[in-house]
Amino acid sequence: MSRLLAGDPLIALWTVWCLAALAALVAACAILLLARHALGVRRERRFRRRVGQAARLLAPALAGATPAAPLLAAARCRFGRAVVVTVLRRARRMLGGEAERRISELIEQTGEPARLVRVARRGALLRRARALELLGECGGETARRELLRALASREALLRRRAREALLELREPFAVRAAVAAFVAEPGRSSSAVRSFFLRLAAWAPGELRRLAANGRLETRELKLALEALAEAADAAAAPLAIEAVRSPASELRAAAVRLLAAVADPRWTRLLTRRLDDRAWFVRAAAARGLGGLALEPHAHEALGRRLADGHWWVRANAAGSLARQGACGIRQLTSAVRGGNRFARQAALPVLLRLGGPRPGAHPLGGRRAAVG
Amino acid sequence: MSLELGMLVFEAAILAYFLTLNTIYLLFTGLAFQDLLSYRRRWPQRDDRPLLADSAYPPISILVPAYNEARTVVDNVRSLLELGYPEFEIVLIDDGSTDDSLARLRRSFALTAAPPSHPRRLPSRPLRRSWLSARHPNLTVLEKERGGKSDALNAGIDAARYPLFCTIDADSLLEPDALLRIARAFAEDERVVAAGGIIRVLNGAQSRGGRVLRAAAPRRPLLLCQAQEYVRGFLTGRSSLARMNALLIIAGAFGLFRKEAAVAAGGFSLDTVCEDMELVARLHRRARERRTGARVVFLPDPVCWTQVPADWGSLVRQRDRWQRGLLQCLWKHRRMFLNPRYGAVGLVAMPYYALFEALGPLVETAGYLALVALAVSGRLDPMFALLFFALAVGYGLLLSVAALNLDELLFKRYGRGRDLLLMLAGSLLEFCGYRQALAAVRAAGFVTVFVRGRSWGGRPHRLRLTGKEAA
Repeated sequence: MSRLLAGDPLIALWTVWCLAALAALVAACAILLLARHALGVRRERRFRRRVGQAARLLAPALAGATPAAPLLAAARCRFGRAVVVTVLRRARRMLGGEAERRISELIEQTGEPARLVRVARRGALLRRARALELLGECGGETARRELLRALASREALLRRRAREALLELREPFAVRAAVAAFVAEPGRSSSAVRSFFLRLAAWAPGELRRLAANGRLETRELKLALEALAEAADAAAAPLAIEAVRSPASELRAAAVRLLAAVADPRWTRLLTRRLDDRAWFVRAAAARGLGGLALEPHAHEALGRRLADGHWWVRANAAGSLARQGACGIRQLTSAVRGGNRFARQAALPVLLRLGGPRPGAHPLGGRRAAVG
Repeated sequence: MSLELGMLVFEAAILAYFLTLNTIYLLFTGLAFQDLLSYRRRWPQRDDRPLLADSAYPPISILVPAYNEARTVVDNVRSLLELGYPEFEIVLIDDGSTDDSLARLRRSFALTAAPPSHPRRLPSRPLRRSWLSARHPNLTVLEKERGGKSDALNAGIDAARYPLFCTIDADSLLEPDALLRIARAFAEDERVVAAGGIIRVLNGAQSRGGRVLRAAAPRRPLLLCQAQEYVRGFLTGRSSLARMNALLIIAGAFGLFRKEAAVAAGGFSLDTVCEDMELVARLHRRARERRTGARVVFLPDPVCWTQVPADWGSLVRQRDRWQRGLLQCLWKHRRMFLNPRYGAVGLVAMPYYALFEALGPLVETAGYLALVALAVSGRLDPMFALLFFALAVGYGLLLSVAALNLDELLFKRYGRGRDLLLMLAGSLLEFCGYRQALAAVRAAGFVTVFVRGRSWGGRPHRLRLTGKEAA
């Protein structure tokens, strides 16, 4: 091989050149790694320290106790725009309410939204997406205008970030615009829908209810909407859930049951109890679990007790857990299940009772192996 | 003349094999850069916990097989109980320990004996008792007869209440949000049947109470080489194969599976050496044969910290086992090899693992042996040897440094520059004996398998807790 290389100076030169290029590439990568790390760590530490100092300086202005302009000017002079804006953005997010509008105005005075608008309009996609996200945290007129404009972007990522950032503004007009853009979005992924709905349920549950009620969502999306409303424990969404409970789609029924359970309104006890006989096991499991958070009437107790012998393990376990949460009456039922003739019910009830410090297994021998049980 | 021609062909073949292998690795690195950057774009680094912790996340059963782990088991269970996840249970399977693991668990978690109360659908040795904790309703300990890791995991799957189960080694530490992050794949895509997270080396890191406080590169060369190997292997190799839905390995130290799919596939195989890889291959196979569209994914941000072997003896046993497991799995699922019916698994993953991962060590060792033979006989071409070595080191370093760059760019795990310098040193050290020794060990594993026929060494491997492989 080396004779081949030695025979042709061009090949030899090419080989040496390749090796040199490889070495240079490795060295460049290593230097890049170390330099990036060193600079990044240093910058981050310094930034964190300065944010803390600026927050202490700006605290009276953020609380509305003193005029903001002089403090803001002093902070900018001492710590720079980036630090001041970070403090303001975080304060806006944490304080919320009336302070939000006031802090948005302060941010506007720093010129940050205008800078972010410039970033959001050109350059790398990730930077643009991040700029839109930050605009949502800044709030104010400039941010709103740019976010509305970004809803028509050609990039799906930018449109998604713009919609979510508009929700961050927590203004009725912005929320409605975000919802309209969401509805018009083609090919929505589950993660985008889930993320949007969770934000919408937290900040404008009414809009999400309207969206779910107007029949334009696919079954999969409606399920996500109900789950997001359940997460927000939105009592006003109960009618939606009641309608969804009758749906032929079992996932939808399960989500509806979870929503009704999250609301924990005794009016829906009967409905949840009926779902204990649903043909889909996960709907029964959701109902069995949901009933645990409600004060139950005797017929619901009985229905839960029957589920201790359900064909699915998860339903049995949830029913046992829910009965345990019912206090003395539920525990009585669990105890009688342990003493009863059904091995499924015994197996579901016993662990729960043991956790509550109930009967010792020795007192109610169930056998060591499955074959010996029942 | 013919000898010279033979040598030329041999040198050219070795060089071509080596260049192809490293070019594939480089291609994987490029794909990984693209894939991980896009992953980060979808899931930015900021804390998503409030959004992640919604009720839509499926509950998880964490299966922890343990054998003679008295020293660490209580701490590890405590750290697992503190995981941030809406709903999970821990099923610790004591696989016939002969030390006082169970006694310690009983004392620490107020365990009460109860007869096993779940149906048995997968093959496993008989359960003696199951223990429930009076303090932690989501902790169950299964006491069973000794049967090996696969057997213990099968018993755990049977006892698991939830639709997803997570397998972790009892000496591994999960980061608090690791479950949330890994379960995201299942919450987003119902076709996902298995997901793997990244495994990082715990040796050298600062940890307290079952939590890693500060990531650090290990100081000992052997550990350093392994740490570097893990970063490269997980961040580049696995993410690019997963992108093609052709990932064949999910580390047993941290993987999340859909219970229904695993049970339908027959659970963990009791006669394999690497049960995790075999199960994933079987899931792929079933998915392709039944056209279910099932996916196996890799996520780079759920982190599990694990102890790696700290001495050569343990490392050699571990790598020998991995090699035998790989060969066994490839043989068992040879039907998929280059079979278009199995998509990327048959056309990309199986040939890749067979030609480069299984045969690679054999070719590499043959190369070293030939080098020695030529040197002894005075026929060594020093120019070729030097060029080859320079190219090997250069290419290897490039891949390692690229993986480190990717890690730093996306995850910034190391707080100190010193750790990065150590990792860089580790990638250089790899070429000073570590790679060559492991290639020889793996080649020996290959030979062992062929000498023993299909027995594969037979005996189920011991569960690993202290990083030391069992005899």
